[in-house]
Amino acid sequence: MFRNYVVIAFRNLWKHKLFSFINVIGLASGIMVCLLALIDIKGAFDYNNFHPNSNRTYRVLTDVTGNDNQKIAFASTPLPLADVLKREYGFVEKTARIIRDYTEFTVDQKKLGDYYCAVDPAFFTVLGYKLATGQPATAPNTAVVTPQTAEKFFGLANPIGKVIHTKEFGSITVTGVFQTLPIRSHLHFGLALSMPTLSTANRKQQQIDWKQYTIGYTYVLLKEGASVDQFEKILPTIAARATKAIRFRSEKGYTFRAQSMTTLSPSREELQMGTWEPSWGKLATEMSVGLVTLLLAVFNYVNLTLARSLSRAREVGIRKVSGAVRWQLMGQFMAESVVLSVFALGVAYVFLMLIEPMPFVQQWLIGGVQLDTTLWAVFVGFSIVTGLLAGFVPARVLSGFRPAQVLRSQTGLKVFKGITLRKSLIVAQFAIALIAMIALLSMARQQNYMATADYGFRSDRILNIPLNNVPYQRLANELNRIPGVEHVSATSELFGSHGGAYQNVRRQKSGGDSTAVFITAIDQNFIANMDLRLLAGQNLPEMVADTTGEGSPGRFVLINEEAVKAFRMGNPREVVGQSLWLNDTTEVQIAGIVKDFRFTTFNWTIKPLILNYQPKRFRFVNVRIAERTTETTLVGIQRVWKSLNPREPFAGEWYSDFLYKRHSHEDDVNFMGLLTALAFSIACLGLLGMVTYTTETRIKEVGIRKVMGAEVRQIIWLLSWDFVKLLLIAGAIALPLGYLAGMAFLINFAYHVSIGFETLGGCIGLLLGLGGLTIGFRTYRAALSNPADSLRSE
Amino acid sequence: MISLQNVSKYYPAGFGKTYVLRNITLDINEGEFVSIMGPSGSGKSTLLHILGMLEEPSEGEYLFFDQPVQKLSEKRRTELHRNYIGFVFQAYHLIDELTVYENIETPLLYKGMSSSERKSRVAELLDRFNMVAKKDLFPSQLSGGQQQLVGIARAVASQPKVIFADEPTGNLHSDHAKEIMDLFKKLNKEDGVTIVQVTHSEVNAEYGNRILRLKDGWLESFQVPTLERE
Ligand SMILES: Nc1ncnc2c1ncn2[C@@H]1O[C@H](COP(=O)(O)OP(=O)(O)OP(=O)(O)O)[C@@H](O)[C@H]1O
Ligand SMILES: [Mg+2]
Repeated sequence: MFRNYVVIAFRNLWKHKLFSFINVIGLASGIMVCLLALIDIKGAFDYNNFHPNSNRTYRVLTDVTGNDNQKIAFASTPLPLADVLKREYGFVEKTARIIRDYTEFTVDQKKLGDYYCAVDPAFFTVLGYKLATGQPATAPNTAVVTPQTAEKFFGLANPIGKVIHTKEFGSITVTGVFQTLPIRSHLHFGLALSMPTLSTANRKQQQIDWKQYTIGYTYVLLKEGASVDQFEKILPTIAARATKAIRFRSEKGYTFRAQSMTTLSPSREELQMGTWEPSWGKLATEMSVGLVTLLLAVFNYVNLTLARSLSRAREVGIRKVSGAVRWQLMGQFMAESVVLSVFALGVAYVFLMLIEPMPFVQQWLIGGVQLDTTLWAVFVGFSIVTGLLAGFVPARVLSGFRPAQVLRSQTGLKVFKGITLRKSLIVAQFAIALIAMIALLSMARQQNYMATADYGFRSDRILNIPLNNVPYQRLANELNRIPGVEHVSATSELFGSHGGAYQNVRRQKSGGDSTAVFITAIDQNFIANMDLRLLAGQNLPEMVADTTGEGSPGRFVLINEEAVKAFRMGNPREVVGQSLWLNDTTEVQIAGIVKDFRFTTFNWTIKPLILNYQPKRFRFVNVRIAERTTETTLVGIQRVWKSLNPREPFAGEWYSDFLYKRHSHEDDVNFMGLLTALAFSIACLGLLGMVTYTTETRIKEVGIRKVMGAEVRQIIWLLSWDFVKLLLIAGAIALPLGYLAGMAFLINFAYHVSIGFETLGGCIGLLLGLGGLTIGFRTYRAALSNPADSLRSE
Repeated sequence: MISLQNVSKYYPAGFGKTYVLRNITLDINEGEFVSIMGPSGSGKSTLLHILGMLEEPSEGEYLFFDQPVQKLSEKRRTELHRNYIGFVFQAYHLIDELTVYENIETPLLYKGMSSSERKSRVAELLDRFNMVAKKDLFPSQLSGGQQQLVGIARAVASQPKVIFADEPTGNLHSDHAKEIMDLFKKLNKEDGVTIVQVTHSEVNAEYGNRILRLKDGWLESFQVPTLERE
């Protein structure tokens, strides 16, 4: 019987190619998005799997109670905890502390930033980061590097024994190289330094400080057979003991609890100081996006199967009089949908291979996950369940036909079932696609706006060159000599990004309100170079820095209008000459007021800003190039760079390019565009199928009307109007919802585009255009058909 | 075998109801060949459907092998369809997606026969109906007469006690029609299958041993059943 079902299913699918094509493509698209989510879910469990003994390895979490009684969970713990655990509790086999940070390493005079973990010796055995060669780093000032960092630092040379320098820790010797780290790892780092490397007074203080719980992480390996309950019980005791002597400022206290390595990822709760493990929320979101896409495709299946019910009705009648019971017929129809869905899985896999190289897919979804048999079993199971669910509704409807009804007449009664259902499904499909499109377009427009908008400072014809330790004054002097270079200035921060350093600044030396202010270091050429305007006062005074670039910080500062407001200083003119305290000892005087400009991303409104002269902090020079730049100017700049810093490649970038790259997020938009396009194509294909089948059943009517003198135009309208109506309803539903969805995104930005006529109109225009073409394509052909053919055939 | 007592069938129409069959009382014995005749719209198909348990009578009682049909469960009724009743239609009603072989096999599948039993049974039928060469063709590749042969083969496949045929030759030329009617006759005579057919043709009606005439839902003439035995 089952074999029979499958054979018939294949024949049916083969015979009705349009039907099968639409459904296979639709289901494959939906399944593909679900596969991405499933792979990511599988990958989330990979995070825990490569650690040895992960079933008895725990990370200790700190639950902090704030003064407002809010409980906040931290993934980190105070550093002395590990020692207590190991010393006082026999069931603890090993403890490993990890301190994560970022610093600049100097290798052969190259300065390279990288993430490091400072680790206890047990790190190398408790966690599963294996060494490829060399020894673990345990002695002071030793490190193990990842292969990527080794290559970045030393090229192809053998890294073991090489020495790297840091400002904070001095020289560090490389003792080993890791195997390539698993991509699916909750820790990402380039180097593991031995814990004793962190030997500054400050660092040593941290290691015995129970008050600071955000510095590092504590991992505990329990002895085999040790009781987890016991471990969990002692943690709060230790916390109680430790906090007794502490006077906290902004929190009431904390307690500890254990997090098993086996359940670390996906994370069930949001942890402060969290590591890289994905959260259930992220995975659930991905899965829902997949399921919605799949749902759209399932709608097609339901719709088209019901639209074809006419041709299936007779079969149902015959089978029933041959002795079939309802569940057998349902089984047959569902076998058909399952065959289709399993076939779609194959196509989905091909689709998956096609989109796999997309950066977004690699980075966020499936990077580093192996497709093993378990995963494949899940895929197949998933597609079978999809097929069963998709087939259920049509199977119920179709198997409900009564033989006496459908077998009575020769041509088959006009049995239409589920018309309202079918119409609602079409409306839902297009509404969902349209909402997604409006939201996506709002997002893309916002990002484009941020990438190209006027920030209030000059961004065209400005070439930013990272200094990378080249003395800025020398570079500036050299650059100024090149014909075509108009201005050169220096800054510590590129505006239009996260805004850089900020700190609290007071108007009085001590006491009084402090205000959080961004502080960017510039030189006196910056204002003119970047076309910033002074509203009052004067530019920073000319400071002659020595050629090493190490000048002392200036006493004068510029502030923006927002800072004037924030400090409640009143009239800009009166502000000039007043002083501010950057800290207890540094008093500065306000030289001038800069007109507000947008120096952060558009997520925030303009914030208070102080611009001062601090040559030590300079990280970029801004080179303004004359309007008709010749290639020779750029070549000249590169030559200057090369002469001053032969080791580093030239890394100059146009300011406008920087802003564009920083804000356009093309990868994300491309991927989401792909999703929206999928949703839209599924809806359009479904519509095509519906129009085709509906028009087929009306072909005789068309013939009669033509014989009676109807024009092609009138017939197209007759056949199309029902569907156009559905598109209009979908539009009416989706416009307000899409507007809300778009606003929900835009609300995160202090400066954002509006969702106006161009977005809404464009989207609905595309909907009606594509939908209309789909409808028109079929109805036009039907309207042109020769009435003689359609009338004779009956 | 079949016994109708005051059976009526009506459909709701507006505030009243329109009767399609009125007060039909009728007995059909095992081994009979009955022809039902009457003008179009007189209720012939409806009567056949009631006899074949595809429709329920609105009033009256129907006994099939002495069992009251109204009281049968859906399951029991399906069982009767599987084992006692075969249908032949004017429009053949073959399943387009299935080959000749598979069309004939369909009722056997639902009967739960084993695959080897099915094979020999279908082979036997193909042989008997001279369709062996056509067994892998699809209905669309057959002539009307051939299609109806398949339809009949399918109806007899499960060895039913009774075959209900609704204008089985309605779409066929007279020589084809004759072939089909001869076949029915043979089934009736040799296999003892009870046959109830609806027909418009007096010639075809004569194949039966008894003719029932319907008019406006009334059973007009009533011949005393005479069971032919040779
Ligand atoms: N579902 C229904 N609702 C209302 N009336 C119905 C229904 N089904 C059948 N009828 C009516 O019942 C009457 C008898 O129909 P039936 O098909 O039994 O006639 P018939 O004798 O088989 O005619 P023909 O020779 O044309 O096949 C017809 O007038 C028809 O309109
Ligand atoms: Mg009839």
